Amino acid sequence: MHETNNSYSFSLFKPLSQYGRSNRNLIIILISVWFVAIFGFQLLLLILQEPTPEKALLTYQAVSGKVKSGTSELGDKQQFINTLMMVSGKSLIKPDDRIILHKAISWAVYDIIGEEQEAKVAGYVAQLNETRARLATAGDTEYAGLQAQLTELKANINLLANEPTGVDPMNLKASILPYSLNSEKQILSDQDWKQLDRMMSFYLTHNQSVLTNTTFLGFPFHYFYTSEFLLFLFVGICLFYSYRITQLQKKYSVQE
Amino acid sequence: MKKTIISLMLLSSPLLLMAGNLTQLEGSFKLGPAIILITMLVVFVVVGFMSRAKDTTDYYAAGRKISNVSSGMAIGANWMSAASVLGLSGMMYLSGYNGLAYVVGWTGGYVLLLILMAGQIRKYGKFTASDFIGDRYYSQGLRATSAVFAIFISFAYCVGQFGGVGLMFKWILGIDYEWAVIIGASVVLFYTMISGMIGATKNMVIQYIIIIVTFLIPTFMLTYKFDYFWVIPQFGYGTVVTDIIQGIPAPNIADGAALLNAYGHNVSIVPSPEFAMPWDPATGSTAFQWVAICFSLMLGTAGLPHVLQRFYITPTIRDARLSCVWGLFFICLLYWSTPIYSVFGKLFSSNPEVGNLASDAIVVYTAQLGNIPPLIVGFLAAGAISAAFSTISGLLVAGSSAFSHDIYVKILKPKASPKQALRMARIATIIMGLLVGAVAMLKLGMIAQLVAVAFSMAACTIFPLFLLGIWWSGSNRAGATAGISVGIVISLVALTYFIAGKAGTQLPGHKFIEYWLNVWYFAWIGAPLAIITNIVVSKFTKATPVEIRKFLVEKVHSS
Repeated sequence: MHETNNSYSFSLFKPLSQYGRSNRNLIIILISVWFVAIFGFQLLLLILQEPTPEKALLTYQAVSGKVKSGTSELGDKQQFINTLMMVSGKSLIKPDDRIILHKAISWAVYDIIGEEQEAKVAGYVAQLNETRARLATAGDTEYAGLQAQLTELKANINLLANEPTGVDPMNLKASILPYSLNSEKQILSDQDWKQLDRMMSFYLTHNQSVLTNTTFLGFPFHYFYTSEFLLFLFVGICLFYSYRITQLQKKYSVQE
Repeated sequence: MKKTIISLMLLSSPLLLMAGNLTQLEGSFKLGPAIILITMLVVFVVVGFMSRAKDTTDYYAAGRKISNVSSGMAIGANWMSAASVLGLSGMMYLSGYNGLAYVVGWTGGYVLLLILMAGQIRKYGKFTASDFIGDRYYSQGLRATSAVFAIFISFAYCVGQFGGVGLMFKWILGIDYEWAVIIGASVVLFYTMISGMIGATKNMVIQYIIIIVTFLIPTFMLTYKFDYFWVIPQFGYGTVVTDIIQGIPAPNIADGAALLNAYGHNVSIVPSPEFAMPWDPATGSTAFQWVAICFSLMLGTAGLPHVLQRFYITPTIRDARLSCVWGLFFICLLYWSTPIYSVFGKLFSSNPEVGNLASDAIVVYTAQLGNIPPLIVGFLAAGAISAAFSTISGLLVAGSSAFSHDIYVKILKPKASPKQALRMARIATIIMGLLVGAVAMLKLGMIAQLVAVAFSMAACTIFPLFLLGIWWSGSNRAGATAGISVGIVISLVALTYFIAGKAGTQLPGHKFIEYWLNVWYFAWIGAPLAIITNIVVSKFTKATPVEIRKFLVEKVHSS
């Protein structure tokens, strides 16, 4: 330590006046509230969370073994396809996982609709994929025509595949189905089944707790707390600080 | 001045009526938004030109003529960048709850800024961050180093903004992204050069109002049209989040008719808890990353030169504090609303026919998919560009003043005339703008992520120097030099691994660095290490000169 003159040594924790001490206390209290409110809550979320499966995962786990072994009944296969589509309809699917998913859905759907319909559906799917590819680069005049073609192709696929797969035409799954099919049926290998089991657990299990399952003003509580309450708190802390520091300055006759 | 603005608005109103033509999601020229954008830019340039900087004091700090409410709006406009208006919704659209780390980080930092910095910075009475650092640490070397880093930080921040400008110009004009960046960059450079910060500040009040109004109107319309609580959409969208978690399997019927998006799809979605659950595996993010991003952004907020610079321009110290409170409130008005676009975007794009949308443009896509009138969507896009413009102006002024004021005048040519200094500031602005535009064309990441790099850099370098410089007289030149060196080394390691990764090269330990020292959040460890180093080295080296300590005690912490 080379300090030679301590007369003007100052730090937040060692203020030189009563005003400074009051200011220090105010800062420490407000920063503590701020810190605990943000990170304490996230820590609480982490402590309370439990991996919670979606209903679709439980259904998948109940029927996939039977489907794989070939002992399933029509209802099991329909449930199997439906649970796969619950994942296919999600947007956060990795491209590699989507490939396996579509392979599995195609295998199960083509298996269930029979060979005659399979050829027709596969043909429509091939056309659908081709039309979608053209749509990406279509000009304004071509766009509307391609959209109409897509609508027709989807309707054709749904007409042949909805009933045997147990998909309600009014349900979103009816929209998901045509886009989840490949234009050919491929057999699922053991490796594919392992991948499928892994990814179904991966995408259908979520970190949930009482804080995420409780609803407040329509929000899941944790979402409300982080996206709404914390911002109110920040404004409140800032307002309080401005008000309180002005009071302290008056009290100790501090001139700025 | 007021007459001119009113005249411009009246003249432009027929053009705006023409602007209500049909818009398409992307790919084609959109006449309506283009007219709105051009009208808005003309107004900005004219306002900027009429109140252009006459000398360096005007150029750097707006002559300290700004009231605290206006200053708060200017802070809001300066802050509400393309990252806030476009990038934030994009992050939440893509990663749900994890995106909220950006919301909390970018607002929570203002608490630190107010409590620990705002009043004291104003009391210190300097123009730029480097001015403060050079004086407080009695070091021309540190002044130059911090000036160079201030330029780097402004540069990194600007890259994300130019990316946002490029995306919106691309969307409106239906041209290539590269050309869109070139056109956008040219306009914002022209505007910043002729106006300086005084023009920017006056414009910023107008810009804030444009940004917030254009951003909020569609949120009311979306919640109303899709039968959610629309009176306060910032609360009404909570039910949308719950609907996304639980799923809407069949058409959402209101008054006997199904609610449809612009493509005619039913508003329905498979259960998607991954959108709202904390650090869901499907998002690829962890709790550590949430905390690290949030922490880095908060410290960065309190260390960004162009944000700190706003507090030099308030008339009094009390105004510095009040303008910070106002600024935060005005910012929060936007941040309470940004998730609305991401949740509706999620809902409208749930049909596989729509598929995943470009997340950085999700704000305008959501409005389009929600069948919001094209005129309103056009205003929304123009508001987003306005947000990027106001921030870019502030950044270019901060970056160019760091060069001309802190390096050119203070170090290279102390006898330079004010005219020469102003010319140097303008040359620096042009060079910086051109370089930023070139880097923006590389599309190195999402807007919010690119901006987060600037925050981490600021948190590792500038923030520790301000924090300790203000609150501990024992922090000396040696400590500051050691601290900023640590911050710079950590920043360089993170940036090197990032650039190498983008170039397709994998450096040793890249997986470890990518997770623990990721370029988006390396300040979680960089800033504390820089602070600790500063303290330790200061303790064992020659004490801060008594005149600096006296100044701190008597002027900055006067009692």
